[in-house]
This record gives sequence, C-alpha cells and structure tokens, in this order.
Amino acid sequence: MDDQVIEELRAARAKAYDAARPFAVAKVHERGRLTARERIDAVIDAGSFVETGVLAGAEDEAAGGLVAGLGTLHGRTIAISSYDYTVWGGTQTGINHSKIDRIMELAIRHRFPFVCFADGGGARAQGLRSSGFFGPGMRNEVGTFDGMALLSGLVPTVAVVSGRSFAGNASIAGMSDVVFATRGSAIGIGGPPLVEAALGVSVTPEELGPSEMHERNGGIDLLIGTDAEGADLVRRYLAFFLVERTDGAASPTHDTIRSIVPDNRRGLYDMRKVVRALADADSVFELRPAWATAAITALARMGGHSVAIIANQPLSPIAGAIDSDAADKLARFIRLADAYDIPIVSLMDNPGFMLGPDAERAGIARHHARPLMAQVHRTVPLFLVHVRKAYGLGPMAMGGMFQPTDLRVAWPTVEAGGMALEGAAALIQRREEAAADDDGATARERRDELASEMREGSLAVNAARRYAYDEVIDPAETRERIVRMLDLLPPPAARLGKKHYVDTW
Amino acid sequence: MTDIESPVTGSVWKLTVSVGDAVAEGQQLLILESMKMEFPLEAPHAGVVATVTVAEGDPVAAGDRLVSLSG
Repeated sequence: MDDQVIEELRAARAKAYDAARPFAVAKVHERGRLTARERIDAVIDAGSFVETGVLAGAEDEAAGGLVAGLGTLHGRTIAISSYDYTVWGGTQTGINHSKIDRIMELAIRHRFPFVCFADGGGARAQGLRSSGFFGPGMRNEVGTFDGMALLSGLVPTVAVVSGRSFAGNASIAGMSDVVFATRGSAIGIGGPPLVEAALGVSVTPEELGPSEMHERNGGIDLLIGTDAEGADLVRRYLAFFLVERTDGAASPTHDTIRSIVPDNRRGLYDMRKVVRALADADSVFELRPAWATAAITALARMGGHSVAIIANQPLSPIAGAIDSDAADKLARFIRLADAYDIPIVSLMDNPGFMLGPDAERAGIARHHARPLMAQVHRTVPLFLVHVRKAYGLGPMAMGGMFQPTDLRVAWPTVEAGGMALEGAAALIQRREEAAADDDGATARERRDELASEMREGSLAVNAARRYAYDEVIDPAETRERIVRMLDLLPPPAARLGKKHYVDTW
Repeated sequence: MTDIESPVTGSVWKLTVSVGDAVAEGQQLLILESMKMEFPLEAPHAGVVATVTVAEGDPVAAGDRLVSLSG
C-alpha cells in the first residue's frame, strides 16, 4: 500500500486530537473545564481508550462533536462518551447520534456501564453540514433515547454536566441513573432559544436551569466543583458496581457509635453519624444529600462489600418522617440497589409518614406508595437495624414491616407502635373518659401515662422476648452482625437480562 | 439585626432567653416541639436579644420569626 495513503489517514486523524486544536483547548481550560478527551482520560484506566469514529463528521468538526469509545475502569470495561462543546456547542447530529448509539449497543450487548459527559445544546439546528459524504452511515441497533431506556437497570449509567446541557443532551443526563453537575452549570430540557420561541420569555441558561436549583429540588444527585472532580466521582461511583470487594477497614468513628442516639427520646441526632460509624472508612457515597433531607440514601462499603444504605434522618424539619420527597428519594434508591444487586442496609428511626394538610397537598397519599412498592418487589437482601422509632406505616418504606429481611436487629432505644402512641392513647382515652370533666392538663397527663404503658410493651428486651427481632443488640455490635451476614450470604444469581428499569425520580 | 426563624411547624416548648439578655454564639435561645421531638435553636452569633415574638405553648409555622438578635 502507498505510504502516502497511510500518511493522509494519520494526518486526518491527528486533526481531531487536542494537540492539533490549541485554541479550542485553551478556551475550555480558561473556563476551568477539561476537553472531551481529557475528561475521558480522567475516568478510565490509563491507556485503555479504544475510540470509535475519530474521523466521523466534517473535517473541521473534530470527531463529529462527540468523543466515544470503550475503556476500562478498575480493570472492567465501560462505554464512555463526551460531547465536545467546542464543536458547534456540543450539539447533536445524525452522525454523532450514530456514534453514541454505537457504544450504547455495545454496552447493552456486553453489559458495560455507560458514562456520558452531557453538556451541549441539543439537536444542531443547522442540520447535517453538507460535506460530500456519499453512501449510508452505520446502521445502529438502538436510537439514543430508547438506548438510554434499554440501558436503565441493565448497567449503571452516569452523566456528568459541566457547562450547559440542553434538550437532547440534557435528556441523556436526565435518563441516567445518576447525574453529577458542577456549580455554575445549567441543565434544561428546552434551551433559551426554544423557550423564547415557545413562551415569548427571554432567559439565560443560568436562569433557566441552574444546577444549584436542581440540587435543591432533587434533579441532580451531586453538585460538584469541576469536571475533574466529576471524573473522580464517576470512578468512585462505578467502583461500587465493578469492584466486588475492597479491604474493609472500619471507620475511625465506629467506637463512638453508642454515643450518637441521645438518652432523651425526644432528642435529635444526626443519623449520618450512624452511617459513617457503621461503614468502612471513607466509603460513604451519599446521593441527593441536599434534597428530601428527612431521608438519607448512600452507597457505602461494609466489610469490603458494597451496600446501599437507606436511613431516616431525625435531624430534619420533619424529624425523620417520610414526606412525598423522602418517599420518592427512598423509592428510586431502593430500585437502583435492587436493579444492580446491591444489598440494602436500612437504619430506621421513623415516626411515620408525614401528616398534615401540606403533606396531603404534596401528594403523600400517593407518593407514600412508591417505596412500599419498591420494597415488596425487591429481591436484593435487606438488613434492618431498628435504631429508635417505628410508628405507623412509615416503617414499611424502610423494609421494617411485613417484608422479608435477611437480618432484623434492634438497638435498646427501640420504640414502636401502630400509630403515634400519644395519638392512640388519646383515642383510647376519649372513649374511656367520655363523660369525665377533666380539664385539658389532667387529660393530657393521663394520655401520656397511657402512651407510656403502651411504649413499655415495645421496649427492647420485651420485644426480644417476643422474638420480634433476630436480636436486640448493643449498637457496637451492629457492624459485625451486618458484615457477617454479608459474608455468609451467597453472591446474587447471575442476571440474564434486567430485573426492571431504574426510576429516574 | 438577625431574625431567628422557625425551621419547623410545631409549637414553642421552652423559651430560655428574654428581651435584653446578652447571649454567646451557640447559646440556646428556645426549644421548639414538632413531631414529638425537641428542636433546640441556638444563637448564630453573639448578641443581645432584641425581640421575642412568641410565648411558651404558641403554635408556630416554618419560617415564622421567633426571636431577633442584635449585634
């Protein structure tokens, strides 16, 4: 073969690499971001990138505006892509759709996790630029958006957004299991030009869908500083799914575990301290921490095993009750853990589902059902730690009632009832003392006495005598009980397909 | 002047300061009760209690101003 033909090929390829595009690269770096290629390099194991379609797209359209291919992460293959904002604002074209669809079909066929750096402006309004391509393109097995749906629940999917992500690019992010977005970035299903055309309203991207807003309302999982941090978090997140065991060293705070729940049963405490005390050192990876703060959802390791921790957070305005947002947050996380066979550790201190007119207006009558549905349909193991309260139906959302558990332990601080004991006592009292003319204060004392009597029956040792738990334990025994169960249970049965897709909300 | 607002909808259980009291940063100002739990509120900075707009037993909504601190 003629050397010149090979040389032309090499030269054409070189134009797509960062070294040939110093001005574009400088602009990206000025904004504190990484180029599409740098992002991919920051995620995957060094030297492992196998690219597809470096020459796709017009000559001045490096890699068609999307860099895509396979690489390894912790030694396991993943599919990874990044839109290139320096190429027509990272917009989507028929050719770069075909590229991303190409790695999606490989990911579906061979079960590779899928990562996308999804900034970009959606479909390119200018359409495919005519550049003299003759002949058909690659025939893909999936389209971009049905591809994301098919990936959901089959393999973990992660999106990182730094910069502006709109329309079709934002949809890829929104269809992913988890989204990490940088401060100052923006995500929106319709970008400013479309918003202006449709609503006559002129907004900047940062007014339309700032990531700080998405963080507070549950739209993203984590708000981060930079692309580079995003790449690091992708590695840490996917490790829970790709790395079977880690060394399993205990947390330095484990020995403080007895001191976390206060003696005052009405006292608040931070359940995150319990999570950190139980988990292996530096292993806790919380999702959606800034939203639905009455519930905690975090991946972690215990004894080196990946676990999905769900917990109520007493240190929240609703004292760990489950409102519509907390119900949604728990439900999606339970489905995520179940889809990918990550055992669930449930730390329960729950006064029930949230009540009151505001809660009803927010739809608790319907939203409360989501975590219950998720619990009843899960097949992944669940280890329940009944830390303190368990009232009403809320415990069902935590796997604490009626659902099969593989471990069921309680701390000495446990108290439980079919409804808030003060409420039950008040109802009983109203019947018993219908004719009495007690004043309000005496009636309240009598109600509290009745509530105390009912509480006695649920107290720790009494509950253990009834065999309501595998054991009532010293908090300091909790970690070992769970780790031993994780060691004793067999690995999950090999999945042929998927159990179910993962809800995006 | 710093307004201390209620983080919860509930009631005032205990007031631990009065108008004119000098308080240190982190000092407890009052305890609210909501969902059968005690929510202590602390001074975000040192100062003097300028106003107290609630009494023990009063119902409060999230966002209601409870106490204001000067300094």
